[in-house]
Amino acid sequence: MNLEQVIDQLKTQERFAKNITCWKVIPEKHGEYEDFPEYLNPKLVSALKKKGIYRLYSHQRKALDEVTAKNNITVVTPTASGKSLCYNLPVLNDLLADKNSRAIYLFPTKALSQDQVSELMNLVNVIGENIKTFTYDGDTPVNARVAIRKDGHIVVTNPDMLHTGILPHHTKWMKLFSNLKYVVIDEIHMYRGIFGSHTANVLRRLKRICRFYGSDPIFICCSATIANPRELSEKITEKSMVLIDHNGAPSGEKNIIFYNPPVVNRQLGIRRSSLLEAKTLALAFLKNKIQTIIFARSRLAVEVLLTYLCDEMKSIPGGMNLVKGYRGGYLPKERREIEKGLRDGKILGVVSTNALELGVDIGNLDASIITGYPGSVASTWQQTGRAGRRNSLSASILVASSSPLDQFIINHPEYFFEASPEHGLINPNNLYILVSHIKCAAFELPFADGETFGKENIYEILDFLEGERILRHVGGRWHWMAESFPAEEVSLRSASAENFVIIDITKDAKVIGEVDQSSAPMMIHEEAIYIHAGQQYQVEKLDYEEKKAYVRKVDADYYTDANLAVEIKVLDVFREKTVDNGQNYVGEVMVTSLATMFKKIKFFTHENLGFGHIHLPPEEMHTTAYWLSIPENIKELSREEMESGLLGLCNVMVNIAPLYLMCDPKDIRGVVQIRSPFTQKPTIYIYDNFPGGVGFSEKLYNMQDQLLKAARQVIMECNCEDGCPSCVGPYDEVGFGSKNFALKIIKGVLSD
Amino acid sequence: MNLSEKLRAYVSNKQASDKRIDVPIKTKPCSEISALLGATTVSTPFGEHFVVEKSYPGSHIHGEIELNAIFNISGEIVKLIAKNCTYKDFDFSRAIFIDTETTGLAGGTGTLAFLSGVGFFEGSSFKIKQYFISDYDEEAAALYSLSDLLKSFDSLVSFNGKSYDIPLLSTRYMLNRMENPVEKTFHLDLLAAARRLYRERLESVSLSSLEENLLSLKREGDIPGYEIPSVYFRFLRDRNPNPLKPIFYHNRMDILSMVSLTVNMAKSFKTPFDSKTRANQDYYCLGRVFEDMGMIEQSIRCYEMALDVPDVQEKSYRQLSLLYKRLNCWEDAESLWIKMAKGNIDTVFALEELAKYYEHKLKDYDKAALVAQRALEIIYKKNTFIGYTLKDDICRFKKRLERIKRKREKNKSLFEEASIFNNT
Repeated sequence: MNLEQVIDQLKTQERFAKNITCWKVIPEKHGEYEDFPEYLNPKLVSALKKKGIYRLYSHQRKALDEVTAKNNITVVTPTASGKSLCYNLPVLNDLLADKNSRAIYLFPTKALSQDQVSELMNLVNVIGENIKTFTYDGDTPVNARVAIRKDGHIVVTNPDMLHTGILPHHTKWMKLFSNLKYVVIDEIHMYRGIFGSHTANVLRRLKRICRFYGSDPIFICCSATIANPRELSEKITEKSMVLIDHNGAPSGEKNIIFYNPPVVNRQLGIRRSSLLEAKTLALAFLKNKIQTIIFARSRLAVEVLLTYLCDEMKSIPGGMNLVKGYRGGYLPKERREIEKGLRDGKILGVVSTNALELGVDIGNLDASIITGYPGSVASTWQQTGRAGRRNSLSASILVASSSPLDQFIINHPEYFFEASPEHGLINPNNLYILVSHIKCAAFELPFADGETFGKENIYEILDFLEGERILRHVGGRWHWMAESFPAEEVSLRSASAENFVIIDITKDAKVIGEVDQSSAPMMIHEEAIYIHAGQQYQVEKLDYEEKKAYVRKVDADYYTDANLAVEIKVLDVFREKTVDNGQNYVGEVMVTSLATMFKKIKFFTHENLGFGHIHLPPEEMHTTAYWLSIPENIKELSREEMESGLLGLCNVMVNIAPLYLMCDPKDIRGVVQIRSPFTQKPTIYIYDNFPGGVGFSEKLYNMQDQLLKAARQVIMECNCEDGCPSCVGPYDEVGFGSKNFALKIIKGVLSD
Repeated sequence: MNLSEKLRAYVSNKQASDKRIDVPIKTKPCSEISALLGATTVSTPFGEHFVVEKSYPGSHIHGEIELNAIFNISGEIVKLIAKNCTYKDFDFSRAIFIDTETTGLAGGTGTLAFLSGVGFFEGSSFKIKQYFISDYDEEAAALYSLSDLLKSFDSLVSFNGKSYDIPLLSTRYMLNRMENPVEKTFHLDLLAAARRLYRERLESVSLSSLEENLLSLKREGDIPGYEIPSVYFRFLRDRNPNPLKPIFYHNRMDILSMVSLTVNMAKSFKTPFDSKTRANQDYYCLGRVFEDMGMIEQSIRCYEMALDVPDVQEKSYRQLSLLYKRLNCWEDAESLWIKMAKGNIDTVFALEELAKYYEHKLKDYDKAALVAQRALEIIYKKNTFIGYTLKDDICRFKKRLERIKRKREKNKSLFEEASIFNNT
């Protein structure tokens, strides 16, 4: 069968068809082309022609024109639309005219830069001019570094290396900074949250150094589809941007299919495993020799799916080796081989984490299967984009898991197709982040009185740092006055805390996983049953100082559930407003969480088998929060019912908020207070789970009643009887009737 | 909450406020600082800074060496110290000895030299000038004075200046947008020279280790280098110059020791076989320098002396035999290799060289096979003895042995063929 026939089979066979919630056909799109502009260097034109490129896509031409006119640009491009030419053309065109020009290319990770560099090098080789492109990262040999500093025309690196390896040593890079014409930031949508907030500050430092050497580079940003590509890149670069979002690349007909595994236990709201469903669907393609990529959400899921698929493929001669896994932890060489195998068609199927979602060149495949909603609309589009050739049919299937987010999406395809994708949010002025970069910046060049950092006036911070004896204010300038090297103390990928590692000591000690700092007291306190990959472990020892938990395999008939007493204290209100009958706030809070005790709960019967105490220090975090206070006098609700309803509603809101925030579900947390000391009313808090906050609360505050309405829809549409993990949470956690009470609360707040 | 309150909360979260023990700030007037340090104030177009000047007579003895002795060093010897022929006209009367004290070892642009000490000969005396900044805003002035002084000199002497002091000063000049005077064509870095000469006998070639072991010098009232930045930071806050005194002393001693160290090294090169300053291990090091500089006779003599010095015996045999090999003195080389093989000195190396020699030079495949076979046996023995596999070695020798045997067979048949022809 060919792809068309397989698709037909899905449509007609009852077994599949009844689970399909949406089938969208995106028609074929023709390419829009432009000629090479006259100003494009003939050497570059002939090189492009040698590579078989005779015309540009319209967005490539626009990018070239805008950059040549000295405008900063943000290009929004789907997968496989020739985005790298959008920056390579203007940069190379300039370099051919002026060999002194310099450019920096920034990629969010090392792996992502590799393909772009080899493509660029290939083009440079065809041109045949002496344009030197170097990768400068942690792996660059020391003896190559001197040459790169002096002669590299294009330096390819990542924000982390720029932060610790380049900016603090800028005098060694004088040639680069004096002549820096372009800064290319690829995959800019990945610079969200903490990482983006840090990167924005690294760029402030970069621009400060450029000013010192008298250069003023143009920024060229590329982004996947998000709601606010221009806003995000303007926030990160603090430059005004020309947005290029009209894609001129052609594409073939695309089928996007939403698939919800059938319910197997209605009472508990349990559906058939999305992994097993994905396996069945993938085999329908693979057994017909249709090249397919299968995305799974975790590394473990990749391995499990891969095992299933290889097992089933055995029946086909040579089938075992046709399907490969791809995820972090595989060696670079292995990865390169798989990428090549996919490009030349020797590999039929690949099971991957989101590692293959972007950047890496694997060519285009016929079908993609997404096991579990990837967490954001943008990611989903990226993953579906892996299937689809320029001029033939393709299919993508999203298989939902039973999480509330997945269930919401799968039952509201219109949300996915019509509503805007998520926002990329950053908060460069998060105090924790800002202060650490001001230290780095002062180390690089003393601040002068009245100097701003980005657009921020930073006198108070400088003054504070002088008080801490890190800076010295003399002669109108603020000098670094410490022995340390500040950039080394700042990691761009987190705001502060490190993770706890989990070490299995059943046999030889080995690390089996990680738990973030804030979940540690709940999940890996001593005597906790920690479940990892379906296996139960008991925590024998928690070394809090060293951040290590030692666990041993057990076979217990119970699990543990810790009580976390979370206290939230309002420190400051930024803004407040009344929306319908509720009062909305955004401000600063102090969150103190203390794990006090845990219960042992028997599987299936949920009997309480006993309890134990947890002795761990409280975790304190100063962050930003959004909170909503609810009228006290909602009819017919007793205090207990109110509490149960609040808990359920809070769960739903926290679970679906990542849809709108484009964040990881663990980036935000919720707390309820039946009578808040601050508002004096029942209150739901949702806070940024990072010290200082990154702007999620602000966004939630601005969403008005949208989140409440979405929550109502989720609860109303869930088929469970009285609460399940797909809506308000299991009833043994939130109490009986929570679904109903939560709806009453919403009704009390919303006036529609 | 206003920003200051937030910042305070930020600190209390990190428990970093321990440093806030307030030291009463006693601002001493400049005159008092200069009096205590024996400094004078210098005015420049970029403002003022301090300078401490000291003059030593040429006859001054530092570490058992008279400073003037440096003028007895001929250009030929400087060449050897620098291991560079272009230093033959190096003139110590036009050279400046330089050493800086800085605010940290972290490197990067946030570290500066608060004290730059320079020493030079003027008439019959050795002068040391120490440019000091009592605060950050005096840096440009001090850099200006240093630059002004450096104009009259055409070369530098330092200890680790090539990778530390000079790049740091270059960065400072660049940050102050001033022309860089410190990149001189001739820069004699004594650390590199000392490493070449003394690495076999000394575990550390730090300046203090060299002083102790070569110059019999023990400093009194010195300050360990790692304490220097914090002492300076403290001074910036309390303006009490007394704790700075040991830093000035430390810096002067470093500069004087550079002079004595140079003289000491020169003696070793000048009279390698008759010098109090030389230890036996140095023979090997001297041999290396002589060899690299193309002074083959001296080099061979040094290696020969080193053959009997236990610490460097193996290296010396190796180095000398390879030198003979390069010079095509095959018999000399062969006899060394045989000695090595018999005396169990790096036997495998010696056997391999012999095998190469017999195979390629003498084309004596029987002998070649014999030594290769023996090497292989030794490696196997080692293998079982040490327990780890010397796979590469085994593989290499096996290949060699096979090739030798093949050649031997071919040779035999050629020989036989030849004899057949002869017979007919």
